[in-house]
Amino acid sequence: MESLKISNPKSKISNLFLPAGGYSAAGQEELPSDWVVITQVQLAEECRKAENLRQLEELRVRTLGKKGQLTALLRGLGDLPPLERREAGARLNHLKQSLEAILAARAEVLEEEETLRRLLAERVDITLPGIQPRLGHRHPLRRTLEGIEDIFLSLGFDIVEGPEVEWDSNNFEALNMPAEHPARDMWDTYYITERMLLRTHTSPVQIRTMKARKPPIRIIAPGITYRHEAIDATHMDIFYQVEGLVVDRGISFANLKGVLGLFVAEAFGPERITKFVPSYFPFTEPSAEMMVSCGLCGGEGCSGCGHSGWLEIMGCGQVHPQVLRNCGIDPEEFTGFAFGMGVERIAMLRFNIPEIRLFLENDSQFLEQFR
Amino acid sequence: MKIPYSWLEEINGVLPAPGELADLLLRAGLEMEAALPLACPFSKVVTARIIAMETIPGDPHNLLVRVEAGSLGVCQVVSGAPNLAIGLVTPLALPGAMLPGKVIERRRFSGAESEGMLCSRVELGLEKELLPLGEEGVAALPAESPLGADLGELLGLPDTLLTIKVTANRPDWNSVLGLAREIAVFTGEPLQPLVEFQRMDSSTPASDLVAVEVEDPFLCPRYLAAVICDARIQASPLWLASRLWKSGMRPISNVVDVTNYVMLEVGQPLHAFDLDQVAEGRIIVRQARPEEMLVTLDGARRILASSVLLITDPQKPLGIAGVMGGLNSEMTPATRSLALESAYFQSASIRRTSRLLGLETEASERFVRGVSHYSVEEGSRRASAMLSALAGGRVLTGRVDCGQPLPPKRLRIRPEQTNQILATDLSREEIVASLDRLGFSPTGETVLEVQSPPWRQDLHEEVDLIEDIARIIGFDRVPHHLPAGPLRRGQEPSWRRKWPEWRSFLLGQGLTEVVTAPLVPPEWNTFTFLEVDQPNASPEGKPSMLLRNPNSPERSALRLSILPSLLQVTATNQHRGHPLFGCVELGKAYRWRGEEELPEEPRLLALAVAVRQEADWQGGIREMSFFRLKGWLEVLFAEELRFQAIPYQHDLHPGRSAAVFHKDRLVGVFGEVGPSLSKRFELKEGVLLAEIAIDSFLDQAVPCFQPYSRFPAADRDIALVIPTDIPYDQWERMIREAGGPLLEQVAFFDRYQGENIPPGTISLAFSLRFRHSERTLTEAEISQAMTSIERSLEEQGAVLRSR
Repeated sequence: MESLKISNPKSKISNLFLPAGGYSAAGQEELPSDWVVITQVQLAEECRKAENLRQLEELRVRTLGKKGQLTALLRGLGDLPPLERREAGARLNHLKQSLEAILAARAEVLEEEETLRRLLAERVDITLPGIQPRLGHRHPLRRTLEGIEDIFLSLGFDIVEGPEVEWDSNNFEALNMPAEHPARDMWDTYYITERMLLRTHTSPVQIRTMKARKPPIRIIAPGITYRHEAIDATHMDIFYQVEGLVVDRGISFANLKGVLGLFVAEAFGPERITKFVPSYFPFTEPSAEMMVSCGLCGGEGCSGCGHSGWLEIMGCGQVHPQVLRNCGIDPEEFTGFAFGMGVERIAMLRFNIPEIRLFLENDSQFLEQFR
Repeated sequence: MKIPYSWLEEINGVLPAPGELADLLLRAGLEMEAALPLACPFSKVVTARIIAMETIPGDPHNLLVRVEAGSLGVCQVVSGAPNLAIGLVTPLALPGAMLPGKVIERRRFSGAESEGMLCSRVELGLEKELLPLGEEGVAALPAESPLGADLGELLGLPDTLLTIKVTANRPDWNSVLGLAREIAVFTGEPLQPLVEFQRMDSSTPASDLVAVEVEDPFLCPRYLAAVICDARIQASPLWLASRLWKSGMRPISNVVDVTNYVMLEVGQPLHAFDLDQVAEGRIIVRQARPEEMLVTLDGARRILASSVLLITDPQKPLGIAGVMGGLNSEMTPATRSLALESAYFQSASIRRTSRLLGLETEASERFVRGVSHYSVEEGSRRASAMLSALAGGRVLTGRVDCGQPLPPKRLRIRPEQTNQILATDLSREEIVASLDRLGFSPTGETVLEVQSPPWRQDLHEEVDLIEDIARIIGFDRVPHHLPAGPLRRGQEPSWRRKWPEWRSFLLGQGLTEVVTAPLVPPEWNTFTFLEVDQPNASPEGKPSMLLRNPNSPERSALRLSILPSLLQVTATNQHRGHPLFGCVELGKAYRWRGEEELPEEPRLLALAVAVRQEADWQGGIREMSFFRLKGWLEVLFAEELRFQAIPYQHDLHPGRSAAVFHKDRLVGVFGEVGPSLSKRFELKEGVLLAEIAIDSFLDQAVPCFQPYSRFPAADRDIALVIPTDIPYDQWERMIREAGGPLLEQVAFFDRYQGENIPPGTISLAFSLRFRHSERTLTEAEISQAMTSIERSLEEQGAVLRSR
């Protein structure tokens, strides 16, 4: 260990040396009483005694500050003869660096301790509840609807809209149901005037689209539809539908099965399978009902699917040639398929919702389940 | 359609069990909605006729009755029934018989041996419609019933009751025969011949007793009248009554029951007139005359519109064609001769009449879907024979036939087109075989020519045949192929792209998305905030629309605003003790534009949010206020919205509501719910509403980079005391105008009223930010701008607090 014996700044610096291993009491006796002795050992000891950064700072000021002991010695160097000055200067600077390092090391320790103390004091009971922002919920019906729309958008279907208050001619006549056609009884209708009604399905958008666009046509038409129907657990007089229409050269029944099969895989999962059975709609021929294997029992049959293993999802079929003709499209050149599904039904299956009425009731306890 | 399984089994011969039958029907396009097993509630009960009765000494309540039970011989039973009479045919429970809740044994009553029990309907556990006679005692069975026959067998019990959903395009399926025929197509098993009835003919020509005139052959292309004489009106035999009952119809008397039975069997509605009540024996089919009236079989007096087609005689209406007969010519016990109508009425006319009268019958439903010339003839033939056999009448020679049967329809089908539409590779032979199974008898090579069976009226063009072929081969044979076409994402309306952004913001603020019904009580269209949207509409000129045929008054109008629906949702949730903080809906309103134009359907963003202050446990406060909502609107639509007070409001708070303008166009309204509306919806806390038409905010301009200053800004605060009667926005505008081009931003940060401020004044404080685009500002420039601002404010009467 190196140490230094230095005279009072005002005195002459004579003996700058002490043997390695510290200075002895005997050595101390040799020095005049006004000599100040600074050793690394001493400073290290004092540093250790400093309990906080403030005390350490005081120590620094006392030794290295403007009026500090070492600073005074450094100032006193000028009084020494050149030869001594160089050596003493080198030694003092060396000593200064050492002392600075000792102070810095101690400061780091103290800072760390201080931070720890502060952090300890700032400790909270982390089991206290979080303060949550209010967060609203999406409506399950719109969520289902948008999910269906997104699948068809990704398959290249444009979303097209039509009015909810429609002409009888678009809702029925052009769809191959002239006045008093018996099939009209399949749709109980709300009327505004003799010719104006609340559309009973989204199918009139087919007509509007085929009259406005030339094939190839690939659209879906989502929206609200209305039926003059008594309301119960599974029937509502207002509900959402998604209509689909594809018209092009060479569109076959196999294309209908292909597209809807893809839709089911996307919407319900790839393990679900589809089945098509004959049905009747005046505006499609052949007409079909698409069924999807029950997700609860995997097709074995359970109370969820009426023990049939299948769930009816939508009506569909090849666009009736008369409907194409009604829209100025030659059925010998173009063919197409169309489908229509009830959004509530799909949402009910998806979220296991028992009653259709719940959708429009908007009870917060219902809505909050669908974050 | 409801039919007993046993009836189908009789015609089909071989019939899969109900479960498998459901699958078969599904492949054909028919849905079996229900298959209800019907047990026989008793066993060992036979028919027996009372042949003798004697008193039992010492027993005043019971009689010793001798009955004959066919091959079982004669036996004696003790009975206390009040309606015992010699000749009565009644159910006899033999020893060992099981009845609901009891077992019958041979036993002695008052010393007399009883070899069984005579049973009432209730003891047998049967419905009243099935055994209507003998309610007061033992059941009275039809006198002609075979004796000693098992009653369960006679009633066709046990059985399974099927409910089958028939699509509107196949009227021929609306009959047992039609269903049996379709089932046979799929099972490949031949049909059994129908049970024929022994008929007695009379040599008298029918035309001697009845004449038919059809005034409008378009409305009635065919009218067949058969005549049966010397009929006796009585109860139908048990098997017939039972079949009707199991098919969901009430047995009435033999003639009516036969017409109903044949309707169920071949699908042809029939009607029998008491010929003695038909004046001059002349049946005239014509439309109703002004003010004409008829009491129908259901006892209702009906005033008939001129579009209604009637069956009449020269003096009076006898019935409403295809819908319901008149009381004046119904079957009575006195009826002896009757005219049997089997007709083809035009479907549209019957549908119109049925809806006009609000009267749907089994007959009208079938006429609406359409009958065929085949069913007209077959129905008349079957019913005549049955009436003769079961009512003992004689069928007069010939029928009076008005109208011509249509020649069978011929259609063409191309195998190539079939394979194209179905994407199959069916051979010509397979297509021919399918058509053969359906009874089409195809001929030809590349184009097949077929003749439709007489009962098929639903075939119009090639594709109808292609559908039938697809049904026969099974839809499973059609492969799954994706259509060819360009690969691209579909296009969507601009509002659909925008809405998720708006919704995310609002959901993040705590609002919940709702979906409400556009059908509302008409009263909801009268709230005055709607006038904000319609500045020029007078109260009478309100563009609301009412349904002509509402289900209930609560859902009889199309809404002009979404806000009342949201208030309803808010109130309902408050009252259920789970209040929503707020709700938002993107929906439509509906505005009438006259009869010649469809209504306008503007898309609106509507929200309702509770006025609330909530403190958390850390002392933080979340609050919802008028100005927070205003801020939402400014952030959402991120455009220079202009707000205008609407002090004439009273459904909204007149001092806390505003009309919202965008580019000088009125786009909506917002504000706090006023006391009257709050009371109307029984709201428990203050609610803020906003409704904005979103059309003007849908332009998705791509942002374009603007250069910005990298030089430091200088901030200066300014506080001013102003009179309360000049609104805030004027002061802000003054500052902006006076601040010149260096004034970059004006931030309002304090508003104070109270101590240290003279009454009638308010203190406003702003933080102003100055910046130059090309260099650092000098102190002198800032002072100059501040001086200009201060001077301008002072000129308008503001006192600067900083001085």
